[in-house]
Amino acid sequence: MKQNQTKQIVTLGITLSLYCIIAALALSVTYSVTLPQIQLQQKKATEESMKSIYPDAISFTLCTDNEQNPIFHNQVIDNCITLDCIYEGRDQTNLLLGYLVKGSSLGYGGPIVFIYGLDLDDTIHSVSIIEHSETPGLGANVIKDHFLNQFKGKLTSDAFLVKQDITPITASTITSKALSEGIKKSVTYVRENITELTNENEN
Amino acid sequence: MKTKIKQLLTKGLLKENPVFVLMLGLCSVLAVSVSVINALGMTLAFTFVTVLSEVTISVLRKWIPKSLRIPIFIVIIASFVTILQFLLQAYFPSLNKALGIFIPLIVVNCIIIGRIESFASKKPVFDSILDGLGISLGYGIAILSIAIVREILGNGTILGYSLFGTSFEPALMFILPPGAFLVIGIEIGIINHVSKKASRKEASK
Repeated sequence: MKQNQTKQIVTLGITLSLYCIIAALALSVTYSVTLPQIQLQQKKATEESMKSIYPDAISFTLCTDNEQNPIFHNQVIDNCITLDCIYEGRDQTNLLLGYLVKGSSLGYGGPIVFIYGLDLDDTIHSVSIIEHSETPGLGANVIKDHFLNQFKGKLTSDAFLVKQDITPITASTITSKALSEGIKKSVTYVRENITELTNENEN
Repeated sequence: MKTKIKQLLTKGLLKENPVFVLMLGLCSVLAVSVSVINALGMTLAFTFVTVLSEVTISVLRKWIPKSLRIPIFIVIIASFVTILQFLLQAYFPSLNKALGIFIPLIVVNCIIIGRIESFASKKPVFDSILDGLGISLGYGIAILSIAIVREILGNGTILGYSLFGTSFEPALMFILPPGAFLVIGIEIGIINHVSKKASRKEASK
């Protein structure tokens, strides 16, 4: 009797693992097939966001160091906030309009990927959300203008504190905090670590 | 045979409508029926997952041990949902932007697991395809009929086109959650009224 039971458990275990292995295989095949296309779409989405932040800019160049590596790539600022990269936005006359900082901050449902313009006079130009997985109806309102517009024109030295100078999204304090902190900490990091960010246009 | 096909395809419309009669999957219906385009996209996504899961499970039904059926159903449904998510991200980015956060909800949509448990795991493949299509049709009609009312009343538009011009003041409530409950309740009421009348007529004949 006991042996029978063990045998049954083993058979069931093997069956379930087989199903899971097949499912995992199917997923990995789809993933590897669609990955290049997905990355292309993400690049497009980033470009569109950059255009919406600086409509006058015609070129966006990735900031790189002397060895042509993108600066601050995957730079972890704290547990939840990561910098992805920085772009320079320039207009037709090659005048530097500002920097675009792309990063992500851990929200309620996963990372919130944001990009914002940093003007040369140390103000936030505007913020755009590229990707998020917040709760529909609550945290998902993070993409709404009435929330994002609060960051427009804020000085980098401002507090960026929810319930003080940032009105949070109703019933979504975690999401609101994640974005405000993400912007504050990333902009502080960028200001401290980039020396070229001084008024280049004056030279 | 022909009547059987017809019956399998049409039973989801009224008699076994998953939303209006069986009251399943209301969560996704309430969330997505804000606009017609979202409802259409959700219907397509739902059809994709339902039909493919029903077919797969119907094919495998003899190799699914009874005590393991629920975990296996979930693995199969979740795999199709994830595949769908990759496909949407790669080839339909705008649809993905509108639906992206609702797609994972399909995994726990009780309509699919209900159909699999009560139908696909017992019936042959062809019947399961028809059942999947019929149920998706019923789901689509339900969600669309709610979305049309909500978009017109709550936003003054249909498929994004303005209907009444700028002087129209939309009743914002209809695109908020309370509006969804109101519309769904009224539509269920109308359907119950009509079907009761029809069955009384039948009885008196």
